[in-house]
Amino acid sequence: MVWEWIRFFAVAGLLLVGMFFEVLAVFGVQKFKKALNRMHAAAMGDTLGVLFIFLGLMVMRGFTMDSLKLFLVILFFWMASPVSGHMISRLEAMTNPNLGEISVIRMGEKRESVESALSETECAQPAPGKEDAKNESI
Amino acid sequence: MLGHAYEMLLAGTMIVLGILIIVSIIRSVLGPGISDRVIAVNMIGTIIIMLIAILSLYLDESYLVDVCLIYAMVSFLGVVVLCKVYTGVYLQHKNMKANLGAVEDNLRRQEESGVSGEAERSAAAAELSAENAAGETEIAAKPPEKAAEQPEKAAKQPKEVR
Repeated sequence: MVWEWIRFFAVAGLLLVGMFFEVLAVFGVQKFKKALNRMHAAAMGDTLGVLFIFLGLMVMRGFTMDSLKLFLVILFFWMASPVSGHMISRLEAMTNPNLGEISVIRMGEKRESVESALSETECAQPAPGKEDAKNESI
Repeated sequence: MLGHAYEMLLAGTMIVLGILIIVSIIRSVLGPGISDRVIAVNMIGTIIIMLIAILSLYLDESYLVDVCLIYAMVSFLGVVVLCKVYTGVYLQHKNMKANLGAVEDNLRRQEESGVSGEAERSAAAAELSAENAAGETEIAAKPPEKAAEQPEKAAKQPKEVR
Protein backbone atom coordinates (compact mmCIF):
# COMPACT_ATOMS: atom_id res chain seq x y z
CA MET A 1 0.00 0.00 0.00
CA VAL A 2 2.83 2.36 0.86
CA TRP A 3 4.51 1.70 -2.49
CA GLU A 4 1.23 2.44 -4.25
CA TRP A 5 1.08 5.81 -2.57
CA ILE A 6 4.71 6.51 -3.40
CA ARG A 7 3.94 5.72 -7.04
CA PHE A 8 0.92 8.00 -6.89
CA PHE A 9 3.03 10.89 -5.64
CA ALA A 10 5.65 10.21 -8.30
CA VAL A 11 2.94 10.32 -10.98
CA ALA A 12 1.50 13.49 -9.48
CA GLY A 13 4.92 15.15 -9.42
CA LEU A 14 5.72 14.21 -13.00
CA LEU A 15 2.30 15.35 -14.26
CA LEU A 16 2.59 18.63 -12.37
CA VAL A 17 6.07 19.30 -13.79
CA GLY A 18 4.84 18.53 -17.30
CA MET A 19 1.84 20.77 -16.81
CA PHE A 20 4.12 23.52 -15.49
CA PHE A 21 6.20 23.35 -18.68
CA GLU A 22 3.07 23.36 -20.82
CA VAL A 23 1.67 26.41 -19.01
CA LEU A 24 5.05 28.09 -19.45
CA ALA A 25 4.99 27.33 -23.19
CA VAL A 26 1.49 28.75 -23.65
CA PHE A 27 2.39 31.80 -21.56
CA GLY A 28 5.52 32.35 -23.64
CA VAL A 29 3.57 32.12 -26.88
CA GLN A 30 1.18 34.73 -25.54
CA LYS A 31 3.93 36.95 -24.16
CA PHE A 32 6.50 37.13 -26.94
CA LYS A 33 5.95 39.43 -29.87
CA LYS A 34 7.81 37.78 -32.73
CA ALA A 35 7.17 34.44 -34.36
CA LEU A 36 10.68 33.08 -33.88
CA ASN A 37 10.60 33.87 -30.15
CA ARG A 38 7.20 32.23 -29.96
CA MET A 39 8.60 29.15 -31.64
CA HIS A 40 11.31 28.99 -29.01
CA ALA A 41 8.67 28.92 -26.27
CA ALA A 42 6.48 26.40 -28.08
CA ALA A 43 9.37 23.97 -28.65
CA MET A 44 9.85 23.73 -24.89
CA GLY A 45 6.27 22.52 -24.50
CA ASP A 46 6.78 20.10 -27.36
CA THR A 47 9.79 18.45 -25.75
CA LEU A 48 9.80 18.84 -21.97
CA GLY A 49 6.04 19.03 -21.47
CA VAL A 50 5.43 15.92 -23.54
CA LEU A 51 8.35 14.12 -21.86
CA PHE A 52 7.19 14.69 -18.30
CA ILE A 53 3.48 14.10 -18.85
CA PHE A 54 4.07 10.89 -20.77
CA LEU A 55 6.66 9.74 -18.23
CA GLY A 56 4.05 10.25 -15.54
CA LEU A 57 1.52 8.20 -17.49
CA MET A 58 4.13 5.47 -18.06
CA VAL A 59 4.92 5.30 -14.34
CA MET A 60 1.20 5.08 -13.64
CA ARG A 61 0.74 2.27 -16.15
CA GLY A 62 3.72 0.16 -15.16
CA PHE A 63 5.49 -2.32 -17.48
CA THR A 64 2.85 -3.02 -20.11
CA MET A 65 2.37 -2.64 -23.84
CA ASP A 66 0.65 0.70 -23.26
CA SER A 67 3.82 2.02 -21.66
CA LEU A 68 5.77 1.07 -24.75
CA LYS A 69 3.26 2.88 -26.96
CA LEU A 70 3.47 5.99 -24.79
CA PHE A 71 7.26 5.82 -25.06
CA LEU A 72 6.90 5.58 -28.82
CA VAL A 73 4.79 8.74 -28.77
CA ILE A 74 7.59 10.55 -26.88
CA LEU A 75 10.15 9.25 -29.38
CA PHE A 76 8.05 10.33 -32.34
CA PHE A 77 7.54 13.77 -30.83
CA TRP A 78 11.24 14.27 -30.24
CA MET A 79 11.94 13.44 -33.86
CA ALA A 80 9.03 15.31 -35.44
CA SER A 81 9.07 18.51 -33.40
CA PRO A 82 12.45 19.83 -34.69
CA VAL A 83 11.39 19.12 -38.27
CA SER A 84 8.13 21.03 -37.94
CA GLY A 85 9.98 23.81 -36.12
CA HIS A 86 12.44 24.04 -38.99
CA MET A 87 9.60 24.25 -41.51
CA ILE A 88 7.83 26.98 -39.52
CA SER A 89 11.02 29.00 -39.12
CA ARG A 90 11.73 28.73 -42.84
CA LEU A 91 8.20 29.94 -43.60
CA GLU A 92 8.71 32.86 -41.21
CA ALA A 93 12.13 33.73 -42.68
CA MET A 94 10.74 33.69 -46.20
CA THR A 95 7.51 35.60 -45.70
CA ASN A 96 8.51 38.21 -43.12
CA PRO A 97 10.09 41.19 -44.90
CA ASN A 98 11.31 42.98 -41.76
CA LEU A 99 12.82 40.03 -39.97
CA GLY A 100 16.08 41.76 -39.11
CA GLU A 101 14.69 44.75 -37.29
CA ILE A 102 15.92 45.16 -33.75
CA SER A 103 13.45 45.83 -30.98
CA VAL A 104 14.64 47.39 -27.75
CA ILE A 105 12.88 46.22 -24.61
CA ARG A 106 13.22 48.12 -21.38
CA MET A 107 11.71 47.56 -17.99
CA GLY A 108 8.30 49.10 -17.58
CA GLU A 109 8.04 50.34 -21.14
CA LYS A 110 6.53 49.10 -24.32
CA ARG A 111 8.59 48.18 -27.33
CA GLU A 112 10.29 50.99 -29.19
CA SER A 113 11.61 51.16 -32.67
CA VAL A 114 15.33 51.20 -33.31
CA GLU A 115 15.47 54.80 -34.46
CA SER A 116 13.99 56.32 -31.32
CA ALA A 117 16.19 54.20 -29.05
CA LEU A 118 19.29 55.10 -31.03
CA SER A 119 18.41 58.78 -31.06
CA GLU A 120 17.90 58.71 -27.30
CA THR A 121 21.30 57.22 -26.64
CA GLU A 122 22.79 59.34 -29.46
CA CYS A 123 24.44 56.54 -31.30
CA ALA A 124 25.88 57.64 -34.60
CA GLN A 125 25.23 54.31 -36.24
CA PRO A 126 22.37 54.12 -38.70
CA ALA A 127 19.70 51.56 -38.05
CA PRO A 128 20.96 48.20 -39.29
CA GLY A 129 18.83 45.47 -40.62
CA LYS A 130 16.56 47.61 -42.75
CA GLU A 131 18.58 46.91 -45.85
CA ASP A 132 19.46 43.36 -44.87
CA ALA A 133 15.82 42.49 -44.43
CA LYS A 134 15.12 43.16 -48.09
CA ASN A 135 17.09 40.24 -49.47
CA GLU A 136 14.87 37.37 -48.58
CA SER A 137 16.92 34.22 -48.82
CA ILE A 138 15.40 30.79 -48.97
CA MET B 1 -9.19 5.78 -1.97
CA LEU B 2 -6.21 5.48 -4.27
CA GLY B 3 -8.41 5.14 -7.35
CA HIS B 4 -10.28 8.25 -6.34
CA ALA B 5 -7.03 10.16 -5.93
CA TYR B 6 -5.85 9.06 -9.39
CA GLU B 7 -9.18 10.13 -10.90
CA MET B 8 -8.93 13.53 -9.25
CA LEU B 9 -5.35 13.98 -10.46
CA LEU B 10 -6.13 13.04 -14.06
CA ALA B 11 -9.31 15.14 -14.13
CA GLY B 12 -7.46 18.17 -12.78
CA THR B 13 -4.72 17.74 -15.38
CA MET B 14 -7.29 17.49 -18.16
CA ILE B 15 -9.09 20.62 -16.96
CA VAL B 16 -5.84 22.62 -16.96
CA LEU B 17 -4.94 21.35 -20.42
CA GLY B 18 -8.42 22.34 -21.67
CA ILE B 19 -7.89 25.87 -20.39
CA LEU B 20 -4.50 25.94 -22.17
CA ILE B 21 -6.20 24.86 -25.41
CA ILE B 22 -8.64 27.77 -25.15
CA VAL B 23 -5.77 30.22 -24.58
CA SER B 24 -3.91 28.80 -27.57
CA ILE B 25 -7.01 29.13 -29.76
CA ILE B 26 -7.19 32.81 -28.79
CA ARG B 27 -3.56 33.23 -29.87
CA SER B 28 -4.20 31.42 -33.14
CA VAL B 29 -7.06 33.83 -33.90
CA LEU B 30 -5.15 36.95 -32.82
CA GLY B 31 -1.71 36.05 -34.18
CA PRO B 32 -0.55 38.74 -36.60
CA GLY B 33 1.35 36.54 -39.04
CA ILE B 34 0.66 33.21 -40.65
CA SER B 35 3.55 31.55 -38.83
CA ASP B 36 2.15 32.63 -35.45
CA ARG B 37 -1.07 30.86 -36.29
CA VAL B 38 0.76 27.74 -37.42
CA ILE B 39 2.75 27.72 -34.16
CA ALA B 40 -0.45 28.06 -32.10
CA VAL B 41 -2.18 25.29 -34.06
CA ASN B 42 0.86 23.04 -33.63
CA MET B 43 0.73 23.63 -29.89
CA ILE B 44 -3.00 22.87 -29.79
CA GLY B 45 -2.20 19.56 -31.48
CA THR B 46 0.43 18.76 -28.85
CA ILE B 47 -1.94 19.52 -25.99
CA ILE B 48 -4.71 17.44 -27.56
CA ILE B 49 -2.33 14.48 -27.86
CA MET B 50 -1.56 14.79 -24.14
CA LEU B 51 -5.30 14.98 -23.44
CA ILE B 52 -5.98 11.79 -25.40
CA ALA B 53 -3.15 9.97 -23.61
CA ILE B 54 -4.48 11.06 -20.20
CA LEU B 55 -8.00 10.10 -21.25
CA SER B 56 -6.84 6.61 -22.15
CA LEU B 57 -5.71 6.12 -18.55
CA TYR B 58 -8.75 7.91 -17.11
CA LEU B 59 -11.20 5.69 -18.97
CA ASP B 60 -8.83 2.68 -18.83
CA GLU B 61 -9.17 2.12 -22.56
CA SER B 62 -5.87 1.06 -24.08
CA TYR B 63 -6.83 1.66 -27.72
CA LEU B 64 -6.85 5.43 -27.14
CA VAL B 65 -3.03 5.28 -26.98
CA ASP B 66 -3.02 4.08 -30.60
CA VAL B 67 -5.32 6.98 -31.47
CA CYS B 68 -2.80 9.23 -29.75
CA LEU B 69 0.10 7.92 -31.83
CA ILE B 70 -1.82 8.31 -35.09
CA TYR B 71 -2.94 11.80 -34.06
CA ALA B 72 0.69 12.77 -33.50
CA MET B 73 1.63 11.63 -36.99
CA VAL B 74 -1.33 13.38 -38.64
CA SER B 75 -0.67 16.60 -36.71
CA PHE B 76 2.99 16.59 -37.79
CA LEU B 77 1.96 15.94 -41.39
CA GLY B 78 -0.58 18.77 -41.20
CA VAL B 79 1.97 21.29 -39.98
CA VAL B 80 4.51 20.29 -42.64
CA VAL B 81 1.91 20.50 -45.41
CA LEU B 82 0.65 23.88 -44.17
CA CYS B 83 4.18 25.29 -44.19
CA LYS B 84 4.89 23.88 -47.66
CA VAL B 85 1.61 25.26 -49.03
CA TYR B 86 2.15 28.74 -47.59
CA THR B 87 5.74 28.95 -48.84
CA GLY B 88 4.51 27.81 -52.26
CA VAL B 89 1.75 30.43 -52.32
CA TYR B 90 4.20 33.12 -51.25
CA LEU B 91 6.73 32.15 -53.91
CA GLN B 92 3.98 32.04 -56.56
CA HIS B 93 2.86 35.58 -55.68
CA LYS B 94 6.45 36.77 -55.69
CA ASN B 95 7.16 35.20 -59.10
CA MET B 96 3.93 36.63 -60.53
CA LYS B 97 4.84 40.09 -59.28
CA ALA B 98 8.37 39.72 -60.68
CA ASN B 99 7.02 38.61 -64.06
CA LEU B 100 4.53 41.50 -64.22
CA GLY B 101 7.27 43.94 -63.22
CA ALA B 102 9.57 42.54 -65.89
CA VAL B 103 6.88 42.90 -68.56
CA GLU B 104 6.16 46.49 -67.53
CA ASP B 105 9.85 47.30 -67.41
CA ASN B 106 10.38 45.82 -70.85
CA LEU B 107 7.50 47.82 -72.34
CA ARG B 108 8.70 51.05 -70.76
CA ARG B 109 12.24 50.51 -71.97
CA GLN B 110 10.98 49.81 -75.47
CA GLU B 111 9.03 53.06 -75.46
CA GLU B 112 11.98 55.02 -74.10
CA SER B 113 14.44 53.52 -76.55
CA GLY B 114 12.01 54.24 -79.38
CA VAL B 115 11.70 57.91 -78.36
CA SER B 116 15.40 58.39 -77.77
CA GLY B 117 16.18 56.56 -81.02
CA GLU B 118 14.01 59.01 -82.94
CA ALA B 119 15.71 61.90 -81.23
CA GLU B 120 19.14 60.48 -82.02
CA ARG B 121 18.14 59.89 -85.60
CA SER B 122 16.84 63.42 -86.03
CA ALA B 123 19.96 64.77 -84.32
CA ALA B 124 22.18 62.72 -86.62
CA ALA B 125 20.21 63.90 -89.63
CA ALA B 126 20.61 67.48 -88.45
CA GLU B 127 24.34 66.99 -88.02
CA LEU B 128 24.59 65.41 -91.45
CA SER B 129 22.69 68.27 -93.02
CA ALA B 130 24.85 70.69 -91.07
CA GLU B 131 28.00 69.05 -92.40
CA ASN B 132 26.61 68.96 -95.90
CA ALA B 133 25.60 72.58 -95.85
CA ALA B 134 28.07 74.11 -93.48
CA GLY B 135 27.76 77.53 -94.92
CA GLU B 136 23.99 77.83 -94.60
CA THR B 137 23.07 79.46 -91.30
CA GLU B 138 19.39 78.39 -91.27
CA ILE B 139 20.10 74.68 -90.74
CA ALA B 140 23.17 75.21 -88.62
CA ALA B 141 21.04 77.04 -86.08
CA LYS B 142 18.99 73.86 -85.45
CA PRO B 143 21.46 71.48 -83.71
CA PRO B 144 21.82 73.60 -80.55
CA GLU B 145 18.06 73.27 -79.99
CA LYS B 146 18.25 69.54 -80.35
CA ALA B 147 21.21 69.50 -78.02
CA ALA B 148 19.21 71.55 -75.54
CA GLU B 149 16.31 69.10 -75.77
CA GLN B 150 18.32 66.01 -75.15
CA PRO B 151 19.66 66.80 -71.67
CA GLU B 152 16.07 67.29 -70.53
CA LYS B 153 15.23 63.78 -71.63
CA ALA B 154 18.40 62.48 -70.07
CA ALA B 155 17.38 64.13 -66.83
CA LYS B 156 13.87 62.72 -67.07
CA GLN B 157 14.87 59.13 -67.60
CA PRO B 158 16.38 58.32 -64.18
CA LYS B 159 13.27 59.63 -62.41
CA GLU B 160 11.04 57.36 -64.41
CA VAL B 161 13.26 54.40 -63.77
CA ARG B 162 13.21 55.02 -60.06
